[in-house]
Amino acid sequence: MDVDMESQDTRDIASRIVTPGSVITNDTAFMRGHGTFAERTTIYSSVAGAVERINKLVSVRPLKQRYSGEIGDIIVGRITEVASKRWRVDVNSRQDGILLLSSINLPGGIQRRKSESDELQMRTFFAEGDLVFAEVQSYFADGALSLHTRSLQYGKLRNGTFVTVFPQLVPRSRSHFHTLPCGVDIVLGVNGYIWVSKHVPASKVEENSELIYSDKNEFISDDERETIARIANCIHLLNRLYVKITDTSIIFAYEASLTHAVKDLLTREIAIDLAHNVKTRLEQQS
Amino acid sequence: MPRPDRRENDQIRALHSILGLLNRVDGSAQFSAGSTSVYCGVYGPVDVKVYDEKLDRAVIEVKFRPAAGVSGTKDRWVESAVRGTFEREILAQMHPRTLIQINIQAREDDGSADAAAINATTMALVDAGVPLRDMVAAASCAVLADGAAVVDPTLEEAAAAQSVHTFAFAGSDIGRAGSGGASGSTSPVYVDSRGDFSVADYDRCYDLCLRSAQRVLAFMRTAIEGKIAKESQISVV
Amino acid sequence: MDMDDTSEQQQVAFAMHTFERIHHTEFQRRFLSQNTRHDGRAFSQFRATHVTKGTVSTAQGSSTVRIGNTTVVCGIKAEVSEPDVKTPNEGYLVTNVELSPMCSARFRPGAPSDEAQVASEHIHRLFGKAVDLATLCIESGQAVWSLSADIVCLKYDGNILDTAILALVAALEDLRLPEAQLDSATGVVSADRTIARQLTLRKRLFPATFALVDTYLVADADDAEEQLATTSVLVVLDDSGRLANIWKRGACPVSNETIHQCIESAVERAETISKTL
Repeated sequence: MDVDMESQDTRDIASRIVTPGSVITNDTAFMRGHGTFAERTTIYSSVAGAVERINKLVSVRPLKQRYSGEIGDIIVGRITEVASKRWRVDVNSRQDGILLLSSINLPGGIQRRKSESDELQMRTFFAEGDLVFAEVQSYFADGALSLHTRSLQYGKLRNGTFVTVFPQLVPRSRSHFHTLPCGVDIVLGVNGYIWVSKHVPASKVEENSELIYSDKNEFISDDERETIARIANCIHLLNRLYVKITDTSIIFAYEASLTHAVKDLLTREIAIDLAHNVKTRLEQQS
Repeated sequence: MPRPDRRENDQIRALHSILGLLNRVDGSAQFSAGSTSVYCGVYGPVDVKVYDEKLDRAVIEVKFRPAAGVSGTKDRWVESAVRGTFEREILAQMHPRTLIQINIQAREDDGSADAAAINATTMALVDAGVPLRDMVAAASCAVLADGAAVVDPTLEEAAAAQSVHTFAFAGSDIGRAGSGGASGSTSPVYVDSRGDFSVADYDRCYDLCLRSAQRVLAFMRTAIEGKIAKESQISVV
Repeated sequence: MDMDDTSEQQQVAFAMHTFERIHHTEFQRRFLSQNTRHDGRAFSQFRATHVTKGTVSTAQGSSTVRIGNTTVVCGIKAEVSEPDVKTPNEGYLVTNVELSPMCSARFRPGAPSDEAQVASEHIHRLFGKAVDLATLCIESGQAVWSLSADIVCLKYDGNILDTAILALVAALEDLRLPEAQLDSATGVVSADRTIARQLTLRKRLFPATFALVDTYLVADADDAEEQLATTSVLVVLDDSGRLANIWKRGACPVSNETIHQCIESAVERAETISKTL
């Protein structure tokens, strides 16, 4: 039961669905990727999913998997613990990520040196429950991710709402911070954590670096709140119907959703309808 | 003699399952055979305490809670049975220094609950995307006072039986047996036969359970493949 | 010359001991691949088994069983208690296996380990039908005997299940229950120790445990072999030659053919022990 090379298209939904223990191929020409294991010359599937083939690499992508970080990933995390000279961050992975005190921007300019008083006042920067926008820098010996926010675009998140989606639906791309035409900023963490917030001009942030760790939200009008809620619900419905989450798909979903009330976006029929709408537009575009 | 629910001797009860019904765990499943129903939730691979961690493989932990009452020694027994069954089937070497935690909750017990627990665990592990060598399907059989062997016994049948037998098999083994291999060449992953029985009784139950396990495995595969087909159709983009 | 010989012998012995500690698996494999075991036994050979009854004078029934170095004492205390409403004519048999740090460094102090609990539960299930609980009735619905069987391991060298099962069978045979009567007026049960009756066991159980060490199936694994075995098969026969339990647990699959071989081996073992009991 070899995978048919000629007609195999990696986007083809007719690609074989396998369960753990199924034989994928006996052909030794293939290399095995994620979701498979080999015994002698046979490649078996170790998870349930669709077989994917890219040239000679055969892998199986399961529906659900925990996020496993890679260096350079842009993620959103939530501080769970303040420890000595570091913070523990929940990044939706099998282990908490670590944000070292030496990996953050200190107010007063990037050149400022870390002082002893900084170590004693760590909660003035990040406290438990805060959301942080960071990048994966490296790994620790036990596999935990080491994060950093050493760029003005990273740091504490405010003025918005939090949405969780399946990590597989957020593709890695050049930019994970987008300003949508409707006046809302979104941060798409590759780990499945997303932040939807009021648009704040970048210049305002740079002006006053003392405020980068402020816990005070800006004033958000009712209209802005409704737009934020609408975008959040659009992301929920894209997640529910397993559509990839990118700025394009969110904009399409938003535009299609304008005819419905914000809370109706969570009902099943409307969600399916809108998802189909988005998929059609995305196909047309590509 | 007819069975209380009028089933044939080699007929299992209606199977029913739900995949991914719990949204806080990594994977979950509910498995039911007739009135016997078991939930299973799987976390993994996740962080493990340094004290417990193994350097070359994942630690597998099983927790079983009964449908009613406080957890006791009976439940430790079921936990050890399930852990033993899956310790090899889970490819633990792929995730060293982590923990795979299997939580089983019995919802209703009308006989063959051990088999249902094993089946629910297989489905939950698959739902969680935990890498497995193979799927495991389990089935039970009882030898009644009149010598008849009946599969998937209810609680009433098991209580009055001379002996009760539970077997679990790996998918590849079931497939091999199905394609004409002698039952002597199959290798069960789990065997628990208890009561007052002869070797002939054991052999009869073994064959009946192997065939029942075949049906259970086909059912589980169909349920899982159906879910994937449905979801991957939607994620074409 | 003598001195040189002994010191050389000592050196060789030291190296072997070190090798055993460091390369546990490899050490065992060297023997198994040569069709023998590290203590010289054949694969299907059980260790010397000794059963002594009546070793605990303060218990109503007791025994001490040794299989090789594994030593277990079983003491049964009989107490009067009220029967369950659902079974007014039946007494109780409660079994408890104790694996404490006293018998091996493997076990930690504190609450019973999972291993001990699983062993206790398995033995409890096995003996459910072995004793006719109706013979423990003193006065229907009011007073019954409750037997607490404590199986304490004194020395652990593998195969606790076989040893514990034999100990319980021997202790039950040793059990002498005093004749008891319920005085309906005062509700007090009086027992005369001088008149004691034996408990009739419905059947005696003969266990045989086989472990899969590497790819070799060995009977009655000792502690060193057990550490490497993830899989085991327990076969229990009764005195009429019928089976009471086949329990295969652990990671590796065992072929049905092998299970049948275990059954045959267990039959031989049953014949041997029945003479000792």
